[in-house]
Amino acid sequence: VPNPFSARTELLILSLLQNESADTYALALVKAAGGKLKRGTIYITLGRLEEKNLIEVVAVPHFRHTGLPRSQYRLTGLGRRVLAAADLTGLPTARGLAP
Amino acid sequence: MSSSPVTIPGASYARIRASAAEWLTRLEEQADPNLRDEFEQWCAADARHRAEFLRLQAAWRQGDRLARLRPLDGRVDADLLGVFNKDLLLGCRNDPRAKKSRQLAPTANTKPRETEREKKIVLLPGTRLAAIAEFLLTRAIFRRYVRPIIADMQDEYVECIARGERWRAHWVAVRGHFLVVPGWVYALVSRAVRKFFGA
Repeated sequence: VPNPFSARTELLILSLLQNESADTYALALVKAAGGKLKRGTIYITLGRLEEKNLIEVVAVPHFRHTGLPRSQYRLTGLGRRVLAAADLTGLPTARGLAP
Repeated sequence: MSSSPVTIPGASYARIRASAAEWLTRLEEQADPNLRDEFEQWCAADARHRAEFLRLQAAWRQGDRLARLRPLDGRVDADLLGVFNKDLLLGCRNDPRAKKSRQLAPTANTKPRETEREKKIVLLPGTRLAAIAEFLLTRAIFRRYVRPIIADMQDEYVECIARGERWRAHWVAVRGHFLVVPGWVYALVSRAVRKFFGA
């Protein structure tokens, strides 16, 4: 059974990821959401979206230090279709969040 | 530096090394063909000269790469540097103090004198946690729920250190470790639930 609360967050993330020119790291998404996404839960939601094949993850290595590669998130084709369907049905997305 | 480095016959290894280091510095700073001829003469004087020069040159180039990898707070990983003088290897080329020390006594201290703290391998926060999580968890759970948190934490930590905000960097490290726990628990619980319901 889909969780309506998590679905709202997922749609928000999907619509933020739609803007491909923006920085699509998890922390950048938290900043872009303007308080609607929390640092403690975004990773779980992103992981769930990846499990559903709505987004894909690209590991970007660092050039400044030797830490683990950072994860950058992108929408998949399925994710775009889900987002388009959500727009058509009037579900809340990130419209109005962008300055 | 107007006079060329002089090598006394039968000179000790330390003196050869000092001359080689001096040649290395001079050749990097000047592109004079006469200097190159002088250098060739110095190399021809003793087979150990060229060998020592090439060894130091390789170390110098390796040092450039290490300098880019070292932690931004300036700490030095002594294990990576080996037995070479860290001032010679990691001293910034544009730093006048480092340059002066290289010119005056390039290899005055060939014996490593790093403190115990410098000898300790410097790891970014979360490195050990990542290793443990990678060992304990499945690859998918680690990649989805643990690695991104640790990677972002390490990036934020380095940014804070670069800005000189040491306390904030420590806070980022502590918070990052606590953030891993919910992701880990969620992944394990959801997996158990799915198994239970046969999904």
